[in-house]
Amino acid sequence: MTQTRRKLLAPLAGMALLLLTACDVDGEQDDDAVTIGLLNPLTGPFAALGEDVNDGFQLYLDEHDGRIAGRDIEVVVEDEANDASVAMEAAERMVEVEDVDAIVGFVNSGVAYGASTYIAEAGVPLIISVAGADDLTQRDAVGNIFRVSYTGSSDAMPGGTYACEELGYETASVVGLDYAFGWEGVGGFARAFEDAGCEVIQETYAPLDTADWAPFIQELDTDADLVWVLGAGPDAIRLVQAYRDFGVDVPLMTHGSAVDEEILEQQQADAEGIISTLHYSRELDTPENEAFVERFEGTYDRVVSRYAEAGWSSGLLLEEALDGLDAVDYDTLTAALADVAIDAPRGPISFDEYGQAVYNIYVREVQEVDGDYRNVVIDTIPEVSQFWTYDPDEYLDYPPYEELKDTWAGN
Amino acid sequence: MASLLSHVLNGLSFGSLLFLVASGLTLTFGLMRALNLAHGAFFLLGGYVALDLLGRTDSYWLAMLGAVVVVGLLGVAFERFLVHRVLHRELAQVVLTIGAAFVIADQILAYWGGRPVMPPRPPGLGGSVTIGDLTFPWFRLSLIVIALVVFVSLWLLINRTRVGAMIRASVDDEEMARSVGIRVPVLFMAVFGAGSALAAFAGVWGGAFTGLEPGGEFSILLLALVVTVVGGLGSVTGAFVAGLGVGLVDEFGKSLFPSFALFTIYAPVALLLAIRPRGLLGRVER
Repeated sequence: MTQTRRKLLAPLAGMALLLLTACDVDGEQDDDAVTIGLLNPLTGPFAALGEDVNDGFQLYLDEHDGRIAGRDIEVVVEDEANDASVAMEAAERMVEVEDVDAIVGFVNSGVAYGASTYIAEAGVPLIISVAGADDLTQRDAVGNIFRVSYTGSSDAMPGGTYACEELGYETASVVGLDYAFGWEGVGGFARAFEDAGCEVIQETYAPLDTADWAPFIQELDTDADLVWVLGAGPDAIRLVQAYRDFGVDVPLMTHGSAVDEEILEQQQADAEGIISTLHYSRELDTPENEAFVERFEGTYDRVVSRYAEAGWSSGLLLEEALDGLDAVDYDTLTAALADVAIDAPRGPISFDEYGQAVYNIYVREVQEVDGDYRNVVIDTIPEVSQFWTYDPDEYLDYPPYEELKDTWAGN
Repeated sequence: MASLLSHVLNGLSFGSLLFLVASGLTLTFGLMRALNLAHGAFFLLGGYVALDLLGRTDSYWLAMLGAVVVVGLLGVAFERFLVHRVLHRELAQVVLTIGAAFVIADQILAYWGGRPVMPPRPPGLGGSVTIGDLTFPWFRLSLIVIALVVFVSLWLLINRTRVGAMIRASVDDEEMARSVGIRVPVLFMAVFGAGSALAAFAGVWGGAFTGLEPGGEFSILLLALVVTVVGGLGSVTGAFVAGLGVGLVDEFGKSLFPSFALFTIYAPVALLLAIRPRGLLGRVER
């Protein structure tokens, strides 16, 4: 009996040893794997945006069977819940427990600012997917923070120049939301519009989540050649609807966010004819974009958005950065990201020395295409810097847009 | 002149929307002393259910009816199984109904997604009317009529019908009402159901005005509370007057002082409460 047991034990022990070694081999493969943390809002007011970013990123991975640049990619998803303290804790957990190699995330600027201190200290590379938080790639740039989306003013400034020089409007009434994004967007448009030789004659701000836009629309100066508005989400829907309802007879131009694809789906005919500037449009006819649109809409059964494009492009950026890296750590990955150049669905993307993406700006006009309203690209302004045509040092010496609010009209 | 008329009309139409939003809340609070902080969530749910049914049936009025019935029944069940247990405990009501609001909003997010939607306006009410210099949307004009109809119906129901008298008796003296054979719990269940149905009704009309998105439940609740508090807790007439008043103040405040737009609704509330804490037509609490 004892004998047999010993006989049995030997091979068992051998197998156990083998299993252990096998684990070790697995472990070595794991060293090669890269872990990416997705830190976007999945509940609260920005849940739909966060979900789009995550889905876009995940779709990119799925297209490559979970392996990019010859490495297995593990994804850790946390909900930042639109709350800076939740975001900070989650970032800490991702770095210290989950051992992530990079983080992709943040929609709300306040949340991004809140978590940025920790992320700067920890040194983990961060690709901001949506949040405007301008100073993270301007006055407070830290090296390991990159942004694939726009700053508050970056996509608005080309609109100001274009409206004055190309479209020939001489005076404009500008309307924005009364918080950082609104001041920066309106300020960016107004600065470029006036520096091109045109004039802002009225400036209005309405609170975020304004239930009734009519009082602001009724007071618009209809002597202006152009009304330029900055709105986002439901505010943009209500604003454009009130504009049409009250029959304002002035051409309407907007920041691109006011006619985002998922907003446009709700605005329909109200948005027809709106010209806007943004770094993306679903209608771009590049092979990269057509493939992306087809896969996203086929997989998730909803219209693509610039948020989904940001998620997809983050995957592309990481692939390019990881490609050719021998050892992946915070420093090597940060350095590699700083040098990448990719062809994303939106067109070429690279980062400037502050970590902000340099990309094309598209002038789009809402037109009916096969029964749907779309942002048809009517002009392209290639490789636009976040400082537009201004010198970065001079630009950073200007007072922040917050202080320039209410000074644009009547100068 | 056209501009002044346009402002007045718009103030009245936004005020009408405010009254519609607040009417259900006023009803449940006034008639059964139950503070329903899930009111905004019921509003949202009504809008989404109607939109969903519209996609399935293609009939706007059927979808509206369906939403009102579904949310009304949900309100009945909510009262019977949960609110009823905390009927005279205000703090417990607050916690319970706020919790319900979160649960409902998260279910909406999971089922209908988080992208904002703009439900269509009722058929025949699209477009605008133009008289001289004045351009005004039909939909906003119709809101004034709808609010008036809802107000008159509620007033008649409470003040001129037997059921209304029974409800008033139950609130004023529950024990006495029970002793003369009024089935108070059934009445309260019906009142809560009616309040929820009104929230859904407002959700259909208001949804076409402001759009719907998860998270909107608390901004709607805030507007409803403003009107209810200004009007005097529980007074339907007060809520009607307060709705129109707040709408007009908001309209002219935003036009004349756009930089203070965030405060145009709340400043009059604070002022009124300082001078007359029980609201315009509120009864003095015993």
